[in-house]
Amino acid sequence: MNTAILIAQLVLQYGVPAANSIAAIISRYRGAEHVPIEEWRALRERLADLPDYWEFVDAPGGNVPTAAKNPA
Amino acid sequence: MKPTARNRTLSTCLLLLLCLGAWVWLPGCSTTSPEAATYATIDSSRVLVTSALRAWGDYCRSVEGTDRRVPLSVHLKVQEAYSLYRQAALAAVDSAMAWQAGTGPEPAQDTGRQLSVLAGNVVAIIAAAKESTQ
Repeated sequence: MNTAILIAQLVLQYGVPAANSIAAIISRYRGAEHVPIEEWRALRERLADLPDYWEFVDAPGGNVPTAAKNPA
Repeated sequence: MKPTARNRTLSTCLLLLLCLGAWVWLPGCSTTSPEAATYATIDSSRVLVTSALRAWGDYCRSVEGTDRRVPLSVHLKVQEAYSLYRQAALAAVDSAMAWQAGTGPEPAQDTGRQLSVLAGNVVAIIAAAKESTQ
């Protein structure tokens, strides 16, 4: 439950759009028996396109030194 | 306590997550196939992890240049958890696609639960890291 609260708190920061997306996914597949291969392919693309970790935390100008991103 | 918009949104998010958990993990709760439940869990966890990392990125930038700057060791911990989640999610989708194409075995029943745990790890590590640097 603690984790659920933490998750919800983080979702809150981008709040409604994230919650809406999750709700849309749940309602779309509720009761579904089969997921077409095209939808699996599209999901794979979305996962493959997820940004690298440093793209989330780095400012456009680059606030994380390159050495930090690639420690020896 | 008077309910605020923030509290209401928090309740909605909690309810959504609890519903998703019940829907995916409790057999007999719906007619949803394991395949569709796995798909929905992977996609929902992707949204959750992405939102958490965006919030984390905003936080890291906001404390950059201050004495609360996020140490590299913390970044590496979050990066590792994110990487594990991402690899597992891609592997789960590949496995489901191979099964559909008839070139692989049926995906494990608890794939969705395992992914939820990995996504939860990312979020929990971020929350703990945020707390320790505040």
